[in-house]
Amino acid sequence: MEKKSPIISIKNLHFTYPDGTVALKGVNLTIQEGESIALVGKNGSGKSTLIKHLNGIYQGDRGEITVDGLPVIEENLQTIRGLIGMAFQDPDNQLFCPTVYDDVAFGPINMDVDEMALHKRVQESLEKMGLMDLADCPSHNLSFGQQKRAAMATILSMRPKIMIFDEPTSNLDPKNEAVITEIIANLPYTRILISHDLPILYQVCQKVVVMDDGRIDAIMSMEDFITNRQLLRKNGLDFTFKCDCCNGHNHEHRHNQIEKKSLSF
Amino acid sequence: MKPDIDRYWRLESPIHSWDPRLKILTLIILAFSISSVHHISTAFGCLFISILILQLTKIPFSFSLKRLAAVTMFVGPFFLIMPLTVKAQSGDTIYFFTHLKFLEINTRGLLLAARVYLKAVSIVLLTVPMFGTNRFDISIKALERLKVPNSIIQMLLFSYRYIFVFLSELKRMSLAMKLRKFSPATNFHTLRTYGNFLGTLLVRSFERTEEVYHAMLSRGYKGILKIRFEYRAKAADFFKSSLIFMAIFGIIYFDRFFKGF
Amino acid sequence: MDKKKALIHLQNLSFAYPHAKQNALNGIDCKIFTHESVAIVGPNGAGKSTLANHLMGILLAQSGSVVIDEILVRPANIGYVRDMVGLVFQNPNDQLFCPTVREEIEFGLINMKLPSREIHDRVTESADIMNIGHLLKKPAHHLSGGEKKRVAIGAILAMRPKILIMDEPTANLDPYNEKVLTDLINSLSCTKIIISHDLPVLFQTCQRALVMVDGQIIRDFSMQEFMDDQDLILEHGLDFRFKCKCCKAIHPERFS
Repeated sequence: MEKKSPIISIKNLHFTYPDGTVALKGVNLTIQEGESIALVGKNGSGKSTLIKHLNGIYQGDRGEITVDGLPVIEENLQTIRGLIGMAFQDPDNQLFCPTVYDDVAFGPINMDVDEMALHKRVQESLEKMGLMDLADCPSHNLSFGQQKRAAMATILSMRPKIMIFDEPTSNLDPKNEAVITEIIANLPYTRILISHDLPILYQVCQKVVVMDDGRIDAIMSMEDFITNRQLLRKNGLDFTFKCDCCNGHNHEHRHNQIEKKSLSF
Repeated sequence: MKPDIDRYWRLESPIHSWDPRLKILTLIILAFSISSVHHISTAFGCLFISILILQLTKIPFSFSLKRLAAVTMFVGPFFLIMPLTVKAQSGDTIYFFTHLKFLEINTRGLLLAARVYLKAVSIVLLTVPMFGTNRFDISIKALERLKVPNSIIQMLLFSYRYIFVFLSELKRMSLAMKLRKFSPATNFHTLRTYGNFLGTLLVRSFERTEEVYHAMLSRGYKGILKIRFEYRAKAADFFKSSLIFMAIFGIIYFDRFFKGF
Repeated sequence: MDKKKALIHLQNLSFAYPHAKQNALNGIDCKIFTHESVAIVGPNGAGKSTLANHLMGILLAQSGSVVIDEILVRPANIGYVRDMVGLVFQNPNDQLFCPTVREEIEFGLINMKLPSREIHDRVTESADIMNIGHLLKKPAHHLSGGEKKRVAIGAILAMRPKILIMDEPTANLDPYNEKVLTDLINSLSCTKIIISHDLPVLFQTCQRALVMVDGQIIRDFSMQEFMDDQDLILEHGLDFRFKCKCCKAIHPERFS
């Protein structure tokens, strides 16, 4: 069997912040194209630091990373940033243009996409996120849920191969949570999700990468992870106490209705 | 760029349709010529021209008034200080109180203060047609076309974006303090609180601006703002500029050769 | 008729933000009694935070009235209101600005001009309740999200408000810290108002639910009734049960 080359490969990555905090202590990880990965771990375990290495925002002290076969070095950064779409936790930090349209166009313009294609991409991304009517709105006039979706649209328009989400559903109400989860679950890209929200990870990801203290602690399937109560607890993800309130509901019936609902924004 | 100065860029007016490069260049020259005015009567004329241009933009006057509040706070004290401090010259009218002989009120000082104030108001009002009638990024881009160095443009752009980050942090934190019953007094606790507050505010603003910068980098930002906008100067744009240049010559001519009233 | 005196009494409270097309609050009537724990639920933008801001005197009623412990909330009474009511912000970073956790908790107490002996006692007490005694000397800036949240609550708690309002207390926390916080909230004896759309957390901390939609309280009933009213939950986008698939996977035995 021909061995597929990984879309992301990280070898022995070390990183220390300028203030002396050692954040990554030799990370090794390969991700295949089309995988969707849940990146979990306690606060400060190095998750956010790790993903900011993938597109060269931080550059490791030691070790090497390749993305789609390209080493992450200065001359490849522009190409790599076009391959990786990164959605930050606080959408307010990601929306900095005068209107939603401009924000969605910002990435492709930096990638020198030509005029016609640009408009098409922006329209397409806005449509996918259900924001067509808000294209000309200043982003700070949007509701929080809309801002989150706008932030995702700014990345979709770059047509990346890999999408990375940092807490995509934090601070959302359940309806918006369900909408965003569904969208992420159906994206045809390689995905990496950082989240505390186990149910969302469970719906989107097949594989779990557990980080602990700047290292990869475990890599396993979602099914194995979710039944491993000890590991869940160790990473603060034991969701069980929340399950008390779903006892006794008629689940199957409800799920059908939810799926219908989440298609209409 | 959270819009504030450009809140009304969607309106339609002769000023809005004016080519941003010519508009900014012309109005900046106008502002400089206003600042060179020596006579109070010319200063009144400048105020009139500024208000005229402002009215042409159709931007509600209340929006510009907010800007004036800041000027008044800054220049207002001049009205108190200058009459008391201006050196007497021959021909000055000086009032003094019979019991407080050292307190001389020089009316020329009052006139000087009024001139400074009128000029400041005229110039500040001009910033609204200058930067309020185009989207802020397009105005910035126009500066770039006018050969303003990239480093200055970057600074303008980021300080504009970050001032809003800073203000929103400031607002929330000071509310949280007020809710915990903080009221400033002249004591060590207040001083220390302000110190802590300022330190935290800076750290937080820095962290957020860093995150914004990372978000920009992630989407391929290379230090050059790419804006798709065709600047096209038509005859009408040059006509508008030449009208303003006529006003500029008028101002300077009147100010230098008529010596005011 | 209920003869008991209400701790919080809202009458026909309405409020609109400047330039807004719709009222953010639209004729709110409600009584909340001492020692109740009340959940305010509703989708994003329903007016929950606006309501909380009225209870703190951050916003003042445009029409109708807010009465807290029989005192009308108006500018002259703001000081009294803020003695009575404590608000914990959603983002603890908005609230924490002192160099150490101890100073953070002391801050409100110094503002209340309490004697230093009492300040010391209250800091100790509050730190015990919130389990942050070991953090007192640390800078709040470097704590984890869950610790920061506890410090933020502890700092408010030390001021001994009769009413504690918490805006999304479990936002951005991992399930472990959510659980820790939920248990801590349950151990507090003051009147509690919790704004959240995290139904599982509300279910464990509150007895009563006020459901807000479009600036109105559309339902006021017990938490249990609320959880059973599936149509209501579904209708207003509060259904969290897409998460239950995950619960099933964790505990197949419970859902067989």
